Amino acid sequence: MFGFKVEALLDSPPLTPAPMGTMRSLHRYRETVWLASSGAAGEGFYTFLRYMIRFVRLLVLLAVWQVVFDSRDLAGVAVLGTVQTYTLVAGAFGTFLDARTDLGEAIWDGRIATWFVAPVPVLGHAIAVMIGRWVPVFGGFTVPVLLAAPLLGVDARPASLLAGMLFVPSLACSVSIGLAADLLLASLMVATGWSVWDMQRLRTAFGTLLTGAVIPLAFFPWGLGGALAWTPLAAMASAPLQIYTGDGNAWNLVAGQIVWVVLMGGASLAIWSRMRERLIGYGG
Amino acid sequence: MGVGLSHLSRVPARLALGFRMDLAFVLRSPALTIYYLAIDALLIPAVGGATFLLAERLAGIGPWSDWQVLFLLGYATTVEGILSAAFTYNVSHISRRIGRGQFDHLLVQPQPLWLTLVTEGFAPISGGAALVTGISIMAWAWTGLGLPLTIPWIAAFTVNLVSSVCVVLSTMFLWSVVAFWAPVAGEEISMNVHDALGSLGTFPLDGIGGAIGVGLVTVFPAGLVAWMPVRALVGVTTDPWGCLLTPAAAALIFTIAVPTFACGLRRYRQTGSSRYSTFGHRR
Repeated sequence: MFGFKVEALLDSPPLTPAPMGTMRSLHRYRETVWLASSGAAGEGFYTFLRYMIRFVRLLVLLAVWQVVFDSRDLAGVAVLGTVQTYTLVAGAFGTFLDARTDLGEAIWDGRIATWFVAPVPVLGHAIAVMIGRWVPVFGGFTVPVLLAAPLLGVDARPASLLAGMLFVPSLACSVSIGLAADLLLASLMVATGWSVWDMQRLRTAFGTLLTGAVIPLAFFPWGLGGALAWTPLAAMASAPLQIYTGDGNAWNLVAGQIVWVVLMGGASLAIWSRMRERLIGYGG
Repeated sequence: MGVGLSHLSRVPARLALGFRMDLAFVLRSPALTIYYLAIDALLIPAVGGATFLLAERLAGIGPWSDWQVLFLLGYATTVEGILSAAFTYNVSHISRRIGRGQFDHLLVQPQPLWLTLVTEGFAPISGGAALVTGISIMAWAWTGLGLPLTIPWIAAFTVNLVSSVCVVLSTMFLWSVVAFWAPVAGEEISMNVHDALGSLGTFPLDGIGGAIGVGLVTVFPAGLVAWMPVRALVGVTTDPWGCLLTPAAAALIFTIAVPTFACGLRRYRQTGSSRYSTFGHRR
């Protein structure tokens, strides 16, 4: 149980001046990021296979949109070029629009016990590992897909300079909401004992579907898209993608995301701080 | 050892045993089972949810009507349900057993390997939620489509459904051969292949041409999971031979998969698993 005390101490506010303290704090995660990054890049065969599958899936989605627009009159609903840009950017940034850490798996297989005795906060460690794994994805998939867009007949440029600039903070908000969802699901695992696989499937199935990461919310039936637009699900993927493609009021979308970051971030941290005291690590 | 087809008569008894063991599992922890069933019933069809929502909003996708797309989703869910109910416990994810050195557990049993593979993963109750959901979705779509319930149609449907399951299993076994040579790198390959087939298999692939289109019905046959058989079954295509394409492709893939897997198995029999060091540590 001493791990919890160490964790609590390290989570306390730093006494050093803020900028220097922040830099030192970030410096502590450098090796973790590097290890996670090189580990993810080292899964050469799997990485290649996964990227190929994702790329083929992206091609299929782009082709489906082509078929949809060829066979239906969607003049008042959407423009093919905009939807294809939306789909391409959603595919290229898919990993970041569905930010998730290893926290659930670490709880499930017992690794969490070693995270608690590490000289960095648990959440910081989890986020550092996540960022480390993103590095090869960004270099090996996101950038090549964006560069290959003209070959696919898709304009990958943002709708305007402002849209491109606002996409970055919007993506940061999306990641923050994703992390909050991750923390809530980890807390749910602790509370219920449900398996990490079910949590991941739950998030993958409904998270991906209802966030607007696969199809834009405007194409949802029964007014579902309009209702989902007010939820944190839309703030995770639909909002940044809408901003990128110039669909909707960018400032309002970012403002909505910030509200969800505050609400979900606060709630998830409060719930996690209670749940982690009930954590039992098996592992081995 | 031979193929041992004389053991065919033992299949029903093995399946009955699997059913009794699954029932015992369910009765021992009903709450947990309900939870598993609910999760399966919700999440497996959700994989194709995007296709369905789009079809519902636009009254179809390309030449597919919304009811036809719904049938496609139900068919894909049923294929997944059969895998989940009849080939669980890592029988379909065979690369895990190969990679972890657990294939010995299959080889030491006093029965042919094929009999073990066909019967060991039978868990129709705990794994049957997706199957029930898939059949329900298909039945709903079937009423909307007004398809004729004739003997030829039922025969074509059954043969195509079995063929689609055969395609998915054969493809997973085919790719899993990698694990005989590279147990660590190949351990999860069947899961990756399965995920890809599942996620791509719920799209109407009519607009995909060129090498990708050909690849999706040959090397990486996601198009055979549901798209190709269903377009023939629900009348998206009027090709009279449409219903025979998936069974033919399944026979071909199966014919390639069996000797390829046997080749890997010969290596396994000679070298065993290299996953564990001489000290017993897992590499």
